[in-house]
Amino acid sequence: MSEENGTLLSVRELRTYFETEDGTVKAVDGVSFELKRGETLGIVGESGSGKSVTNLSLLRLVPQPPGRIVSGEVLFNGEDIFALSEGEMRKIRGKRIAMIFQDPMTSLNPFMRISKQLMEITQLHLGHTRAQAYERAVEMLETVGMPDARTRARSYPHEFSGGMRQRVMIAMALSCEPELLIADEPTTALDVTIQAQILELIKELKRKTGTSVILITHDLGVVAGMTDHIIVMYAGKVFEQATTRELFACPGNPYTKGLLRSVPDPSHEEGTELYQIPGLPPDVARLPPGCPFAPRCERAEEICRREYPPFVQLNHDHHSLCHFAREVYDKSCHERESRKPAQEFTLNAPQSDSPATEQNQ
Amino acid sequence: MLRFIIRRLLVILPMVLLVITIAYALIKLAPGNFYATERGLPEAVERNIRQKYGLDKSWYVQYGKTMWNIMRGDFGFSRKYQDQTVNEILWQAAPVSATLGLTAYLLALTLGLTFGTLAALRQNSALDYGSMAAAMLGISLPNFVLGPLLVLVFALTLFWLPPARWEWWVKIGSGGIPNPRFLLMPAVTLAALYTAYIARLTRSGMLEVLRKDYIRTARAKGLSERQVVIRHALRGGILPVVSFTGPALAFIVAGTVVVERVFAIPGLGNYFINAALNRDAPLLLGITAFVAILVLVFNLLVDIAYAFIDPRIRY
Repeated sequence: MSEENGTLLSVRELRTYFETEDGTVKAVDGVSFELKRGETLGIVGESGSGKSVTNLSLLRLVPQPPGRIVSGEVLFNGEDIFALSEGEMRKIRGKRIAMIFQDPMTSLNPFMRISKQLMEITQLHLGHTRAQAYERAVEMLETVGMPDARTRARSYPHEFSGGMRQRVMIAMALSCEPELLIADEPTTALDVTIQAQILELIKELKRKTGTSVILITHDLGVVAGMTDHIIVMYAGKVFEQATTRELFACPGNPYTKGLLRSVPDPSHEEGTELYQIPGLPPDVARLPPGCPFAPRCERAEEICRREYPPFVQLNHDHHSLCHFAREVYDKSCHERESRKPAQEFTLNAPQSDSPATEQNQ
Repeated sequence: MLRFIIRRLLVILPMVLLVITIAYALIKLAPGNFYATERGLPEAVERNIRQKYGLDKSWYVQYGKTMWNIMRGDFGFSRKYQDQTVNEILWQAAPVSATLGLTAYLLALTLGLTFGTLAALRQNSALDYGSMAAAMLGISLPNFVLGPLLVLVFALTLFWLPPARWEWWVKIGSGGIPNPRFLLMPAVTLAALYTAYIARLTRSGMLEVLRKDYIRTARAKGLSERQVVIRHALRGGILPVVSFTGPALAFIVAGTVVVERVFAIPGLGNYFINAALNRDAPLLLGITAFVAILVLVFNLLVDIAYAFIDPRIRY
């Protein structure tokens, strides 16, 4: 056991590959990060950047075949996840590391009452009797702001709206009081107003329980107000890693800068088009020898196409995978100082006043 | 739900009458009749017979009279087995066919679900390929080949089982408990095809469900693979089998022509074939009506079962 505020999770050089007909897809290729107890880590990237596979690998839930965890080390509380037996792994899943998935419409079993799906997890991990588990289920549903929880517990998933289903997923994930909650794009499938409520709920529950959180998203606006650290992933690799404040203030990677510029900004001048990074994410089965982002990068030079970039340390807690990391970083910091404070990038996550006002259809 | 069931039950009667009408028309249109012999009958005798059975009347009188009697539940006497009414024959033969059919279907369900599920769980393994190859064989091997093969091996070579016929071990009413020695081979022959179908349906159904997000959720909860399959996957995975079961069970219980013929079993299928060959119109109509009712009722039962399995379905 590590001490309070110690490292909860440490991932070293994780590589998860998929064998496909087109060759080996390196979905996760040498990802390393650390998560301290009670912290929130944001993992940001476009679709296919490997963020979900990274987290499925942590729980050893990557379908095998075709997937394969090739190398790497995951230490959870100092315990080597990949060295555990399947039975020991199951005692971690759901109990100590819980997961919320992207699409609440399909992530709950349509044939089973909500109560039963919630009871299952505490009966399994906490040894609850049926009655205890039922009380716990109702209690958890109340915690996540389900109105009339006792009667609604008997409902089936299709009787709930998307937002309510995601609340059920959160209730389920938190019912064993896990040390780590992995939320894989928890708001992507939801309406904007509901998104804010769900994020607020996760934030609030995190504050109450002290759970560490990994928040996976492709939306920088989502992570801004919630996370302590951010990892930016591209083509299965960590492109930039920094504290949230630092990353938004002085991004040290052209890809991150591109992502930041493509977030809609309310103070943005009217009539100007929203920036988008040109091109598409690369086919991770056939990566060029140089920097994977080079074909889409504004800053790219000859060396970028030829040589794989170094992972440059810019600051105590700030790394960037780029040949020109230092230059990009200095430029960002410089730009920031020359801007007026009012025009600074707004760090506000969507806010909501009352998380429980959402109605069901 | 209750209204749905009542509505469906009310539809059954007109549907059955329609089926009987079509069968009646086909019988009338078919050449030949029940009294013809190879040597031919004297004209006077033929006239007497036609008069006795009302065949000299116009077609709509005949049809009307037949339908009227059928609606009262009376199919009349068999033309061939003249001392027995159609209802008596159904009463004797239906339990035999039903016993054989149910045994075969239960066997098919047990084997089909087991191997289908295992094949899906171990996709592309030897077990998967093995059971799917066996299923392919089961589908392509006709039961008039499989039946005699079994008879050849187990009855005529090894002398373990009787080659044909049917025996009640304990008789209750017109049914009872069958003698398993007589039941075994026809049941296996009959089950082969259905086992194969069910195994394939189960496999594809399970494969589809196992890819669903909620199965990933169940795994992320820390459930064992066995719990994931039994509690979460099976219910959705067997839905195709449930819809297959309705018509399949109706036909298998109503007697199967080939298997009853091969094993000389006095079931509905055997009577049906004889009735068709003999142009025994009342018996044909009786069995047709019986099968039609079974199909409609079993389909209704399947729809009701669906609502119990899938809470999203409401009538």
